[in-house]
Amino acid sequence: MPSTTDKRVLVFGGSGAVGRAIVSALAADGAQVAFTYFQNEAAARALLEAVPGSVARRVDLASASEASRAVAELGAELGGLTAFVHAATLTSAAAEPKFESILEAEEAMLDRLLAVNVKSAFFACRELAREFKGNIVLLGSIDGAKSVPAPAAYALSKGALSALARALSKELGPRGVKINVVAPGVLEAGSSRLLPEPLRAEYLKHCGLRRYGKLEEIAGLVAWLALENTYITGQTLVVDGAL
Amino acid sequence: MAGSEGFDSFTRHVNPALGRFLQIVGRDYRFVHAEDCTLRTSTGETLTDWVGGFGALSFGHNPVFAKAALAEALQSTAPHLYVDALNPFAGRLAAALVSAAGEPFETCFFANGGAEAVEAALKTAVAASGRGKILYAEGGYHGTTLGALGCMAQGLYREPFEALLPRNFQSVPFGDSAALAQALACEPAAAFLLEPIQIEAGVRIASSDYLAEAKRLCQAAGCLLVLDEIQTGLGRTGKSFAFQHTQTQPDVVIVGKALGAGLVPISAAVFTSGIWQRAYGTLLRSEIHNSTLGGNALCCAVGLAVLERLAHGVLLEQVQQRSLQLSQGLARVLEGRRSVLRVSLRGLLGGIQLRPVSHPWATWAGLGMPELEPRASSAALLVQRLAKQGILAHLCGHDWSVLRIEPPLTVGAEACEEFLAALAVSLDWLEENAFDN
Amino acid sequence: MKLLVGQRALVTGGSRGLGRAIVLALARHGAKVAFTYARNEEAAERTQKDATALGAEVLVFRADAADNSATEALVRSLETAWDGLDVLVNNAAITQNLPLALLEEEDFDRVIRVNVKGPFLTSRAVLRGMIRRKSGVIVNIGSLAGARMIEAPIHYTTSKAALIGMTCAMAKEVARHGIRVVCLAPGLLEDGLGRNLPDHRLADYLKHNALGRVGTFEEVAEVCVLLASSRSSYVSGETLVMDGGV
Repeated sequence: MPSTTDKRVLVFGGSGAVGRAIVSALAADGAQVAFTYFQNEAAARALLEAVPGSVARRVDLASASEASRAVAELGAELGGLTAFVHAATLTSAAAEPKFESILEAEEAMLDRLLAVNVKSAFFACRELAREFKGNIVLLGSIDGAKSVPAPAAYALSKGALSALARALSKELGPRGVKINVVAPGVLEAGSSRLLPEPLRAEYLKHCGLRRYGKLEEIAGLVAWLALENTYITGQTLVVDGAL
Repeated sequence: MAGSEGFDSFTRHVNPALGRFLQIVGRDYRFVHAEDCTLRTSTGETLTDWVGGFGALSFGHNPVFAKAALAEALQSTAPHLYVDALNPFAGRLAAALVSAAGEPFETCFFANGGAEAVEAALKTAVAASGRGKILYAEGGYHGTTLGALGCMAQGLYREPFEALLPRNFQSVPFGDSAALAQALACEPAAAFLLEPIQIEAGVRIASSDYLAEAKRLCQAAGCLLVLDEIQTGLGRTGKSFAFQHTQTQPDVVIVGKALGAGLVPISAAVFTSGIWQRAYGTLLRSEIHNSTLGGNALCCAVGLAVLERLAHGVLLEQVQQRSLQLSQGLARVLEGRRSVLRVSLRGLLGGIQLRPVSHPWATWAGLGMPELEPRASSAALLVQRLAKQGILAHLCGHDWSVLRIEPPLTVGAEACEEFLAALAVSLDWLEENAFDN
Repeated sequence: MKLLVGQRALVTGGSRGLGRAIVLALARHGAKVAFTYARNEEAAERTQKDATALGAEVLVFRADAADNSATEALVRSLETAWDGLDVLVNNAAITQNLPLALLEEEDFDRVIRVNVKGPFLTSRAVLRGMIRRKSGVIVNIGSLAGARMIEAPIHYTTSKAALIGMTCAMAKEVARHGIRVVCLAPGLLEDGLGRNLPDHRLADYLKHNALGRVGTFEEVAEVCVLLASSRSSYVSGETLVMDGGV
């Protein structure tokens, strides 16, 4: 259903912890939002209720074609996108999700992680490259931006997004597209739930503000970059309380 | 009077490129006060003026005597503008000018700027002789209006306008009487125009011999010798006219700039007897070349005051003294310097020619302005160093390797010593930083 | 949306250019704004008038940021007048387009003094109160020059790079008191310090700029507001470059 607002945003991974906060923040800033979910249908339903006028679709972002199609179709449903946010993420390449060492990583799981975290962003951008003009925000992580202990697969996937943003800022800039990465530190919820206690303690010790980040502290920035940003592009904004 | 917006407006609405350049080199001064040889900026910085308005400020900034003459003229209820009528102001000034120039100078045409007077002289020569050709010395600078531009040296000032320039103007090398003889033999010319000292070409002084020969050749060919003394005249070289240093008297002499004391626009072409009559001696022709504002009362009043001051003799004596001081000082300061090629000085008009810089970081490309290559950067660097010492100076327009010396003629002995000291310091820096050992 | 309602802000060099845009943006977003100026009283008056017209309470001080006693005095006045300060924007800066051959010790010292020492002294003066109150934000205005490899005057670039280090170290040291310190590094701006760039240099910059244009003061001011606001409550120690994609 075409929207009456001039802010129409698609969020990949809207059902995740960070994704939900982002959808709410976007709506609070006056946007109409469509989002994807995969496993957490309950969360998706609750979000649809909490954010009237929002649209949800179940999409397996591990499939490049599904990701592309989601952008095309959900974009059309909203009446053309003015912003896109990629907040979908897998955190582990181990057989059972954990903060794995490289020896514990498995190829199939690595492939799936890269597909969701990187390829789906790539193919979404590819689809957007046809006609879209507006802001793209990708959710990275300090794991991919700074020198911190991190699972290699996850770190690599998040670092890749910064390179993607840099390259696409150049390629799509002339067409009015701005693309940036927001790289959070450890948050109260979300991917960091896999962080082992000793590392949590170290993080708190070295984080200037001596606390985890709140989901709203990421969502508010993402919403601004999606809806208000006119000149920042190609950047990775680290949000980690002075780690 | 002007807030800072006036200065900013200049960059915006008058000369953006100049404004930007001055800002880059830190010489975007906001001058708010000027007296004699001193300028003061809005931030209280003072500089001594060794550019002298390119010769227009021979009497310094805000010259009291000239302002008094102007004020007095303003009070007068006599007409300030005479069209098609007897103009007593122009009359008086003309009398004073021909007297200063000496016999047989007889008539004057008043214009509002140097280039205008140059063009009047050329037109008059053509009208007087019926000949359609003008000869001029290469390397000159007589103004940027189309006729004067036709006598401009090859290069920056001339190039974009070539299509508009007169076809019958031919250049001969400056100082080369054989070339002049040849040109005169080829085709009858109405006039040969040159400056007795080519300033923009690097303060190149025409020798007495050359001028004498030029006069002889022109006379024989029925061609008028026209000397442009817009910068060299009115005391600049230590005499009322530069030609008075030689035995040669031109047929036409042109003055301007200092004639208005840097306050008002006035110039004059002064003709020896018979020329004006031959050109415009009939009623029909009597006003075919004219200028509405040429010879207006206010400008002539200032011109008269200028000539009166010149006639006193005190100023000329002062110029000669300062010139001697400078000449000795320059010899001292410039001796043995590997950066200096040549020095010329006549009266208070001089040029210091520098060698090309040899350090890569001191070339225009090294300084981040490759578009200025292959011009010299030496004099520009010297200008910049002098500015740091509170000396406002400038280089020669056709030769960027030459620093011009052109202070107000009222410059004092102390100011001359300061200039010499600043020059020494600046050349030290230049030799340390821009020249190889 | 007004992001700074009720906040008390100080901007150095706020009378003209980027500083003025920041002052006006802060005012638009509901803050009380104080600003300093070095010389241009006319411009300061104009900016004060315009900010007041936006409904803000405005205080103006004439001070050289690197003059410690003047800075301490004005901060003390502000703390008294407004019972504290929430936001400091270190914006006052100078530059000179000098190639190495002409860049002398006094030029280097001058630029470092205004661009680096000034922000340090002002930050220190303001932090005294912020630390007591356990709250506050400092935004240092840096530059793309100093963050990345671009052609710019050596001393200016050095001074802006210094701000990045200052931001990191200061952020670390004062975070324990709940105070954030960030650096905003714009690229070339319309009418900015780089406005007298030769045409071919500007053309080249634009050629390699993804968005194909220089930024505006207003755009930078809006991001400055964002960084000062609670939306950025978890951002500290970071340098955010906003350059249109150079």
